[in-house]
Amino acid sequence: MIRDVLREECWVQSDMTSRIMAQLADEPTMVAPQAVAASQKISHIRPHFNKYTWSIAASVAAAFFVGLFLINQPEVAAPDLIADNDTDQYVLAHHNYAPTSATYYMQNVAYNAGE
Amino acid sequence: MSLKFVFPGHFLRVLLLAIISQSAVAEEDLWATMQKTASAARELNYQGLFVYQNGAVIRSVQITHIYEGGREFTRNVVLDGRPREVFSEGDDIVIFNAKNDKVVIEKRRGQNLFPAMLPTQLYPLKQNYKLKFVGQERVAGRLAQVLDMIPNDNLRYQYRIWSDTEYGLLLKMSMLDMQGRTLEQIGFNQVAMLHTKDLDWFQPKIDATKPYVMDDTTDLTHTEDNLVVPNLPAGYKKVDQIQLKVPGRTAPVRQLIFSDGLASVSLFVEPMIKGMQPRVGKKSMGSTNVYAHVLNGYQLVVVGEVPAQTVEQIAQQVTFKK
Repeated sequence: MIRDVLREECWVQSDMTSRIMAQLADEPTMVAPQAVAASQKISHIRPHFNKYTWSIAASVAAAFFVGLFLINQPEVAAPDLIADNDTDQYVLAHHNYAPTSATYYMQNVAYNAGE
Repeated sequence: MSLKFVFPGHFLRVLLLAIISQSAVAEEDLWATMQKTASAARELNYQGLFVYQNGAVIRSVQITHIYEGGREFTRNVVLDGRPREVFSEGDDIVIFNAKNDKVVIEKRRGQNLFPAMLPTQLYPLKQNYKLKFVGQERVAGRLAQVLDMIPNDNLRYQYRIWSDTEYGLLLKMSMLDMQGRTLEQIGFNQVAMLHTKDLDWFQPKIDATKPYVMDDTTDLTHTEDNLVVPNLPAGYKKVDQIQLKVPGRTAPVRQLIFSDGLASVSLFVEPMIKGMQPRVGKKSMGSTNVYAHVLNGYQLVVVGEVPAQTVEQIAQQVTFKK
């Protein structure tokens, strides 16, 4: 029905809601869970899963989800607010006049870009 | 009679003192090597080919250097990209730069070019870096001592230098980030000592058919003004202040240069004129970091081959005296 709605091919009958409500009213009201027979209790699993096991399992699961959350975090980059060519002339001037700058030799790049 | 084994505190103190003094001597020896390296690049006669690498950019440069009569003569020919020749005689540097239909001549002064990257006065470096002997390696067919210059703080990068064991010439130098990754590297591929003092080679050979013109943007004025940076990052000092014309800017731009002896940072101050778009923010390009903001109607841009926090710290400290 969802697919049909998405395709706008769904023809919802006007009395559908009232029929659903009537069926819900006919359902018996359950106020307490049905008692489980003593023989059916989960004692048979106790030798394998004691309270410590459950704690460890919960911790592992929590660590897994925290790790998954951290791994899937987007990389937080420093704000890069300056456009690429905005500071080219300053960088070039720095390389030209700084007392020690090996980048001196790559000036051709900036000159090419500036022309 | 029982023998009593005594391990006196005095012995421990002497042992400790010996270890400390041994390490101090070793550190002094390394600084002596550095001093020899700083001098060798200026006083030896050599010719070679070195490669500069910064990220994806690689440039090969041919160098000839002669020390004659107390003067240095160097010719660097950039072999990749656009033709370019850099001549230096003492502190004066002249660059012949082929641009379209002409050769533009630019003038510079007082720059330390490879392999003379280390300052002759090492005192500022001793204040900001510690030396560590790494080992020996061959570079450009020559045996080199490898030393690490480890910064005392995170306001500058680490450097690794390869110093020729025989002559002390700087054969290679790398700039490393905080994680030890190479940001920038420059080193000889081949080098040989020269036994001639002939200076016939000391003339430009770049596009002799084209007219040579002086570049007016290199017309510098040394200035002093009301701008101050009261609390510079530890170890940095102002080494120069100039006023220059920057292409595309109508008003002259002031440039203050700071250095710790090796790392250098420029602070540019440009008056904001009508219609000028303010630049605010930071940018990182390999080893170069940029920080820009606006203060008192001036555009401030700090650029340097230093960590981002150093340029930011300088930019935040700028004040104008009344």
